[in-house]
Amino acid sequence: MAKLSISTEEFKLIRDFIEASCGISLGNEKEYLLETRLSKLLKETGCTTYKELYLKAKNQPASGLRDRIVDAMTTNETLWFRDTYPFEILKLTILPEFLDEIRSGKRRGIRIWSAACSSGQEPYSMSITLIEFFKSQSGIPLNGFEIMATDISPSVLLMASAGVYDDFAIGRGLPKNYMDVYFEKKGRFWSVTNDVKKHIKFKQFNLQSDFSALGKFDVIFCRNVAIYFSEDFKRSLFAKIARALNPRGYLFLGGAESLIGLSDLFQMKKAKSGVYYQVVR
Amino acid sequence: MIKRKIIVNKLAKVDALPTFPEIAMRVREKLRDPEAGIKEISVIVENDPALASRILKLANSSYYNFGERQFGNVRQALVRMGLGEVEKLILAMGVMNVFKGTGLSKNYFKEFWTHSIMVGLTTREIIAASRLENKQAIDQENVFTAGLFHAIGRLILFQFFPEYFKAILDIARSEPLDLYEIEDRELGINHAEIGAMLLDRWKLPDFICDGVMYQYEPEKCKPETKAYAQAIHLSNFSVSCNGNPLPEGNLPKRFSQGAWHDLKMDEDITELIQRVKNSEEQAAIMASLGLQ
Repeated sequence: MAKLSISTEEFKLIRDFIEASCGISLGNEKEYLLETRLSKLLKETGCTTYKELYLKAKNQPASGLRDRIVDAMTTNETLWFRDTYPFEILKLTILPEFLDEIRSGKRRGIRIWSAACSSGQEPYSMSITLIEFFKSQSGIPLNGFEIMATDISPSVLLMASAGVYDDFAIGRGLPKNYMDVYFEKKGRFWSVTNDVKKHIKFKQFNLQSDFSALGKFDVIFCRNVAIYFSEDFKRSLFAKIARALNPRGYLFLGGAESLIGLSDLFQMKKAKSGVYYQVVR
Repeated sequence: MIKRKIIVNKLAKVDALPTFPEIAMRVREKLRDPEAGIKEISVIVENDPALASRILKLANSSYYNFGERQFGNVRQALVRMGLGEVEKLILAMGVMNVFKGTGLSKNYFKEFWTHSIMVGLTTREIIAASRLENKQAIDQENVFTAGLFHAIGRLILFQFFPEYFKAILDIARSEPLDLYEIEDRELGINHAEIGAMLLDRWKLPDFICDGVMYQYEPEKCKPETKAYAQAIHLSNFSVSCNGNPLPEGNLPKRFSQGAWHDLKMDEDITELIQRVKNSEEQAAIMASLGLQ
């Protein structure tokens, strides 16, 4: 079935509704995003236009439709080690650099932020990457790192914090040998081990808020979430991220995203497999 | 929907619906009697040797007994656990007894009651962690009861419509849907509504029946009792996504943002999940004891 197009008026109505419901503010020219995310819901509810969908959600709170719209907008692709290259760069470049600093007494610990952690695959992939790296080094205690994992949605945070996945979710990008080492079978499901979990703190957080309470980070992953935001908001977001990073800290965006035209506070670094950013300070 | 009519009509007529565990009823009454205390409750419990032995075993389990000397009599055990815990326990043991021998396997019951007790315990935690204005007015023990009974409709469905019950489970194996969604689609009625019918027959208070009835769609519940439906909803979601869903159920999908928002959940997510995980051991012990 061809995707129904959304009109400007309908886009404004739904955009304002979503912002009031959960704080996500869609920039202009995001019609395609709404169409992609909501066309299935249109079909399921039997609404023939987006306006009808909006009116139903707004005027019939008992329909639960508001929640479903918010869900459809905030659900992300959930893969382990998504795109691979950020985790390779951590392993091959960034962590060795931090390790040198630890050994020479210039650094005490490592703090990483997963800024749109969804159902947990990203922060757990980070934790596994760090554990694997430090395992291969001698004499370095494994307790020196901390991962902050945040998301705007309490439902995915609960799933992430529980760290339990079914066969379908576990199969998406997780190497088999990692499954054996870092997961335990729990009935029909798979549960992340405590060794992986203990480094992570899960917190509900809206990226429109002030970042100062979160502290400073050495690495920030802000992947595939900026697609929701306007150009203005993105500029302000990356400025806040720059301030939340320690000197020479690193930022990773999604595979198809870029800082070009949005921030001059970062230097682009090119690795064999992908691009990342270092704050210029 | 034809199947829905069949189910509703049969359940309205049948005399053989399980009855509310009598001992739990007597204990409940005693506990609401300001004159009664541990002594009176002990007497009731001691008069039921099977229950007495379970209470003792539980009081002596590592969950309640941190290497203190073993409790030798019911009175000591009740003092140690406190009347609040005791009421929960007696209710759980009582209701497990009611459904014994209905034909489901011991493993099924173990999983079912572990899940249900966890939901009961977590529903209390959620109310405690919420910032509801009238939090004090909510009866903690009733909140546990509502959570404990939230899926009892599944057992009724099995007992009276085993073919429907089996068909639902077959579908759950191949489609990643919540059980209640499959029930709605295939039967036109789900276990929340069936459970609420039973609880109504047991003359349990409004807020417990509503809490169970609207647990999957709390936005449909009337304002006076909505908080219960919302708390059960969040509790069931948290317990299920921890890997303890209903037997043969899938990890949960549907989540009511409204429930999280209305209950003004202050709770640190990591801490809430930790409480869920902590409840698992206690729930498993209680379920095992109840099924002996």
